[in-house]
Amino acid sequence: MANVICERPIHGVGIGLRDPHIQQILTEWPKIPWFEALSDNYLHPGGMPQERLIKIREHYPLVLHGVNLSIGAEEPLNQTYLKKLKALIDLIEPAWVSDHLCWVSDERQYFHELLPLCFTQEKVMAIIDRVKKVQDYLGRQILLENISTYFTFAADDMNEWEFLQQVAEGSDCLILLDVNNMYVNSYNHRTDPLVCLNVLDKRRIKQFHLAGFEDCLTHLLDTHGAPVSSHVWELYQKMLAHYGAVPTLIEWDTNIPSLAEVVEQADKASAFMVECINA
Amino acid sequence: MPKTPLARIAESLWGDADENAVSSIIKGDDRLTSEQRLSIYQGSVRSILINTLKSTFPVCEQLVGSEFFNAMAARFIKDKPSIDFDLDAYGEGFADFILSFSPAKQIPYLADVARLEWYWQQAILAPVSEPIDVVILNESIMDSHCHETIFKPPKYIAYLASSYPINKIWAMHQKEDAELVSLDEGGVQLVIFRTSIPLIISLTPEQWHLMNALRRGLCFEALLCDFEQCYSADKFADNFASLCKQGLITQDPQQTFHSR
Repeated sequence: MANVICERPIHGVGIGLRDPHIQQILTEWPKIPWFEALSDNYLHPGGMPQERLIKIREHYPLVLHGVNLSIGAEEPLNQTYLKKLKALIDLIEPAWVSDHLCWVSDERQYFHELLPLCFTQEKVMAIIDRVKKVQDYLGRQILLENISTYFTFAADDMNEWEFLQQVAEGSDCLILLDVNNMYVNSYNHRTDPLVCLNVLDKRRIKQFHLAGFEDCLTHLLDTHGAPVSSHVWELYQKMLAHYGAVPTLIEWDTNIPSLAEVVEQADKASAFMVECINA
Repeated sequence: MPKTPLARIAESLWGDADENAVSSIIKGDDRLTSEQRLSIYQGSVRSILINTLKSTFPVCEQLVGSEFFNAMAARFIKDKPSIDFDLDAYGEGFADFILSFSPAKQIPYLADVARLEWYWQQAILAPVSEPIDVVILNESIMDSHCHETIFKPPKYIAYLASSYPINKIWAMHQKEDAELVSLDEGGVQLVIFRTSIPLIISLTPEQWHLMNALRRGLCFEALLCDFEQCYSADKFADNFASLCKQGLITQDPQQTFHSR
């Protein structure tokens, strides 16, 4: 794949498409710049979820975001998953396709949880090879997202930003920078989140994610079940100032509130983005 | 060959490995030990599967209560980890598991309700089957070769016979002011399929017989002969028409069916 970073038509602040809001969206068609759909929920051809997604796609730009690519796993890539994902991509024509820099499965089972990787040079090379295969198969660049983690490996020989950047550079993939995950990890592992500013290639960052966490006192849990915290808003402003007005998404997956409440969070992010553009 | 750190974590997520061994590969600190850090993932992996079962079997959860359901689900996931990327595929054997789960025996219809909920979810995910066009149907029947015509059930259809009125039990849990159901109402023979929306239809014995003949791929003439062996031929036309009206005779070739 050529070393090209293409542009796609999404701008501003989008919202994660979630079941409790879909009927309202299909009847009211609210003014929301774009939606992110969880690709794994729409892999059944012709099923009701896919029918609704097609209707939404007729009115809004969409991006697809997955969980089960398992790009960091040690087993071969799941070809059935890739085939279904490609069929969905061909159907929906999303602006971007993303997944996480993690592993979710081994040879026996799927954990469906975003599990941390051991940040070694060997793993970088293994993942580069896998990302290239995925991109070749899908015929497009993918975005990889930094995840929240609750442990790190004793064998790590670099930080997560160096790891992410090397994977992105080596495979020519793009980056989805989750600002909430960045904050959660900085708390959980006592690291400085701003280290990323000196490491990640600005040209590769194509989306930001924002979400809420739960404070468990000993650690922060990335629940996507609360409003974005003030710490994360602060960090988001710093990311905007450094990386520019990157399209941003509000994610809310547990204790899902009304669409209006999610839109309120999106409006707040938009206001910060406008400030950044005007600065 | 020594196990990789990921392989050792994978084993530990289900408690297959010595958790102390994990402390050598995971960093701990004064806030959380390495075992505590690992246990956050152990908890979340279990919760994801339990929540998936709750989402697929909400009526079962209402019938037994959250605490009972959680315990039952925990036992199930221990035996049946997820082997598919598709979480919608998780829980297929849950109804059979309930049958063998002795604490659930006090609710004898629970397994059948679980089976109904499973088929309901599969119907949501299935493509639509277009009911047969009345004109095509009439032409087929008027045609001199109509005896050779093979009519098809919908692409996705599940057949479920139960000794309990499980469709009414299910319906009772879809709204708050629903009427109570008496188990004395007896058993039902159901089909679960999808038109523009998923449907659960309770069939008469005649209709059930006809649907079972359809799924065997009998041609129209054989369908009629088969029907006449059990019921009066006079009833055939009305029952066949009723199945058509309910969208159970389609123009699509049959792809899948399940039965119990």
